[in-house]
Amino acid sequence: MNAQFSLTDDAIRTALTPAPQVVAPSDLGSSIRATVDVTSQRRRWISWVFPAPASSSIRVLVLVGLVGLLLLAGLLIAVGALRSSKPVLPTDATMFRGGPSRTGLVLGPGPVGHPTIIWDRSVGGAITANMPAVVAGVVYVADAGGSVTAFDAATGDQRWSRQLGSAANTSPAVGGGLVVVGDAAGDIVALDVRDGMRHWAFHTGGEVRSSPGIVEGIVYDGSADGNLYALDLATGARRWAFPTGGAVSRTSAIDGGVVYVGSEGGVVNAVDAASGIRRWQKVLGPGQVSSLAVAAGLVVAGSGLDDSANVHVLFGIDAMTGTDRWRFMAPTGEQLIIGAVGETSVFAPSDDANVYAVDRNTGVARWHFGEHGVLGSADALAAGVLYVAGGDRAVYAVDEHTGALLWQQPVIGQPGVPAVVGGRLYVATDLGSVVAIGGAP
Amino acid sequence: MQGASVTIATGGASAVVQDDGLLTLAAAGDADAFDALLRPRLDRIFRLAVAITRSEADARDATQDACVLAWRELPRLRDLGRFDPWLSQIVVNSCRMLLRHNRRGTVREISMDDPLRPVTREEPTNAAEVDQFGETEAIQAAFERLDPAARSLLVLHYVEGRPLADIARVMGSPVGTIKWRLSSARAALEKALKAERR
Repeated sequence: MNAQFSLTDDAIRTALTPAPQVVAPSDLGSSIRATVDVTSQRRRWISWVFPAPASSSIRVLVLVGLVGLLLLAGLLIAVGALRSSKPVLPTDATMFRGGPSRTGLVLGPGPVGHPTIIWDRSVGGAITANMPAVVAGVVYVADAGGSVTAFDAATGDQRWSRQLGSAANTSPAVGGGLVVVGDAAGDIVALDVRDGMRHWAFHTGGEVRSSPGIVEGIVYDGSADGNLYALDLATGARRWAFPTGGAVSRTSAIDGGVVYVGSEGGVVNAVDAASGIRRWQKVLGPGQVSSLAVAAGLVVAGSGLDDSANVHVLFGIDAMTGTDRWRFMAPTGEQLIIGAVGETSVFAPSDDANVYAVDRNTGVARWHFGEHGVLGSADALAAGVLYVAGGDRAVYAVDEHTGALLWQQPVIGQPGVPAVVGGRLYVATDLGSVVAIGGAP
Repeated sequence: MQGASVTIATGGASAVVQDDGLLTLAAAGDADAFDALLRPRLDRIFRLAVAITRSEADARDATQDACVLAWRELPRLRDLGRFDPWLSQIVVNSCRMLLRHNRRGTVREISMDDPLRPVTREEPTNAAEVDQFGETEAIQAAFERLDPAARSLLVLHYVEGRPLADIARVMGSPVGTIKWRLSSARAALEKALKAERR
């Protein structure tokens, strides 16, 4: 390099001007248009109030008055809310992570007092990183041995068990009198909740490992054949199929008429739930995308979930536009997945054996839980308590706000995602154990 | 709206007249009009974003953010004649926010096809060009050490060739402040360049 080179205006201009071939990507215009079509404009209410050029002091005075009124109204609403209402949270665990938005946030409560195993049953195969569905007093599990089994939630008595013929590695979803699971043969199968009789089956072109979601009579599920499917819950008839461009092996999140699906190649698509038309697409980077969660306009996704990737990032993505709100990396740079999404924090288990609580608005870490060397795999959140499925064959209860350990309960095998319903915690393990944990004085 | 879009696509002086109509329609909530306004400007604002972020993946995000924000805020733009500097201002702000974000998270957007894709240039063919090429790369590397505000100022001045008064409007600061900041940004670039040469 020439040591005498001086920094001239021309040198700066040459260095900083993008090459002539740099132009907007061909799909950027249509991507913006798709977002614009679903984004409302802000109303020009200030201009209605002041159609003519008004003095800034008058504007300030009126604005201060309006803000005062708004604050007063907000206060009144808040007082009313405190008196009369609470957030509407699911009481049953109808599908993976409690509901279609996959936040893991449920009404609960979980076990109170000393944790005690109420009952423990075995099924024919491993249940890895999946969740039992608990609906109307019945616990449903699907296992790698190909069985779907229903237990009485109170007693653990088996009600029925049905063999599918190939491994069922998804969490069940329950709705409309049916329990829906996916299997390794590529089928999405609906069984009658009363006796397990097969109601319908829909064949995809690849293994189904993504847990189904049910919203308003439609089943949404992804397949290793690269498609996200929408099926009629009553009949199994296909409504639409959306080609994601890569195998779908982790679970989609659904909220506000949009399905958010991650696929191989590090891609997240937002798909209109009614039409199957893409609203936006975002590339997170190499490797698999984690199961997704969506809450209050924020989609949360972990990137780089396989050995080929060396960058692992937790993304907070604007659900409307697909643009970043924040990104978070574990201090160790290790892989992160979604555990649960609370009202203020996202809980993200990492391969570095910590669970990180990340501010939902800013992406900044609040605390981490890792003193016990727990390799957390999945969480549930109820009544201020985070339930962590530890990789050391135990379930941990942790204070949602401080990360303080409340209790721990060993189980047989590595637990999957806990279901927290009616004062009990139900969890299935990779050794085929289904456990109900309650609280004792 | 269809006729107006065609007129815009042909460019020329008449496009400015048509823009007024499109702006009024877009501000009233006509997405087709906004689309027609945006398309002829997309390359320009994308290149502006590339120049600031030095990453086509980041520029894509910043451009998309800016355009969606422009759509949302357009009804509040009182002087529609200032649409272009206003749009540039939003793009610059989006780039600055994105760069700040990336710094905090110490990660960059990674494209599936071409991870961390740099802004491409043609390879040099002779010794003088090689020398110039090395210096150009050093300036680019030095530029990437700067904070988002300094980057934005340098790009608006040296790449976009905007006068100080125009930059002051885009950045929302007095001309005197911009002059001082531009001088500081250039000094920071020189300092970063020296660090690159070590």
